[in-house]
Amino acid sequence: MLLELVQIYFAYQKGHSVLEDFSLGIEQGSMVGILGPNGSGKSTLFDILTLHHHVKRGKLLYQGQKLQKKTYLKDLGCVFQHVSLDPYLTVLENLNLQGGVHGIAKHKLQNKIKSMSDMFGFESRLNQLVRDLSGGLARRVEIAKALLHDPKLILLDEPTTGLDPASRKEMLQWMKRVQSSQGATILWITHLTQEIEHMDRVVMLDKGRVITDGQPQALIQAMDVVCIDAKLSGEAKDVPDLASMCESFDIEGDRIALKVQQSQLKHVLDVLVGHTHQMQYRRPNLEDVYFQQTGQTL
Amino acid sequence: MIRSSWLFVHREILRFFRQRGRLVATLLTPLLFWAFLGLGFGSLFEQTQLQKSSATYFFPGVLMLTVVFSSVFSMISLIQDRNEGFLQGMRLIPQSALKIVLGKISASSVMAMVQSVLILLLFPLAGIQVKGTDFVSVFLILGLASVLMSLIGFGFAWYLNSVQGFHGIMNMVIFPMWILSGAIFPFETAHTAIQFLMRLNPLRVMVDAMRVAFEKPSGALTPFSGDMIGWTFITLLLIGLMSLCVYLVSHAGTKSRD
Repeated sequence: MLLELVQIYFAYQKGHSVLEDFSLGIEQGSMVGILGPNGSGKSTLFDILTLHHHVKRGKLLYQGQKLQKKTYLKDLGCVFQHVSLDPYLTVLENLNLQGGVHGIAKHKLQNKIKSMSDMFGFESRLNQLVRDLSGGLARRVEIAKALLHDPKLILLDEPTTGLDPASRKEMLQWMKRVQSSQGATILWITHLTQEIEHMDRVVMLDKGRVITDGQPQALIQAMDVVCIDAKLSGEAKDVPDLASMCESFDIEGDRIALKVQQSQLKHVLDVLVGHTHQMQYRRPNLEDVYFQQTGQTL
Repeated sequence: MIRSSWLFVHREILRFFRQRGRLVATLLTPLLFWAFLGLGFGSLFEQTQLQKSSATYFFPGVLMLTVVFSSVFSMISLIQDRNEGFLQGMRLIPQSALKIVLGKISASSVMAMVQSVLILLLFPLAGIQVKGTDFVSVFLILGLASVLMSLIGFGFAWYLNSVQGFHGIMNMVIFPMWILSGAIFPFETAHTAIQFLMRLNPLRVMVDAMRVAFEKPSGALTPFSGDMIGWTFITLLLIGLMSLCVYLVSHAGTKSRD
């Protein structure tokens, strides 16, 4: 294990724990998504892993040993929810400053900046002030800044905040590239299931506890349900109550949404067919997994 | 350590020149004070026993004001760094807390020194002669003052997260310190209670030392030989404030205040 949190307890106020008996191990070279809604303890976890909060109970182990701040910070790269660049400096000045304080030799730093700017597509913007960059471009520079010193562990806190869907996808691809080319371990904190579906592992949080932990596709398949959305052809009151045959059963206006076990699918469809039209099937996703585990949406 | 400190100084210089309002304000404010105080008290000085012009008398105080304003208010950048997100990244660099404090303090002090030297070069207007050794002495005094005030500013800026709050508190700290430094009125003519406060004020020791450098009164050896207790106090204060700032940085994580 590269990183282990063992029975962590954290509270901002006495008696109001945010994380309780929280244990998590992160394998070297893996890409792990931490998924949870607001208030699930994601940000507190990020603050603990960035050493912003000191754990009050429990252990934090890095490479099998008690975490040593200097070694850990040397190996750590962080992408924050809000960019951590100096707006009054140019892109190049920001990267030079970051590389310099990490002790990267000047010639190596120049090569690194060159390769990063090529990779993230801001080579023509190196001399532009950060405050004049668009949100998407500033986000690219932020990632480059986090990767400049070849970190072994990369933490990302809601890194796609403010990005459009295409940029989100692109960001995931970059991080996959970094994982495969550098063997970096990536911990990606988010509340967006789409970002996590293609990762090695997803850890779902609820009220400061791990509720599910596993490979995303395996978790989805284990649900063994089909999701059905349909439009009612008649009155809602005429539809028989299928709750006992379904994982979930909702009627809202003229729409009906169900989650049905494969074994019950035929019976449910037989009942529905006379009451609905425009029926659509979809595979369950991680949001459905989360709902199944907690009864809450993300 | 030198490279990382220089990187912070370099950053501060770049930011300073890209925020032109700061440049104008920090240079113009002391000059306006000098002009208004000098002209305002002009005829009054002719009636006193001080045997010097108001421009000469206020010159050390104006230099001190430049340093105090520049060093303290450059620490606003620390609050901006926090609010703009820059500080969250800097807190994760694998450098010791001492290096981070030294980097920021040297950046602030260098900027304050540059500005105060620009004012110092106006000494002919004050009607005084500054020789090479005097210049070095004044330079050292201003250096110490800038480090001291930067450390005070750093401590408050690390703790506070609002620029308005910082302004309010720092004005409450720096104006009394400057007024009680002997910049505006001499120690000898002040009320006993004011004299007591002036004795406790490290800036008073420094302003007195600058007067010695500029005016060379009979009996004074060097600017630093006059008040040994004062200089010892300043040394201890610098060590104490540096330790406090290093402690604050190394124990970062607790919430800041408005």
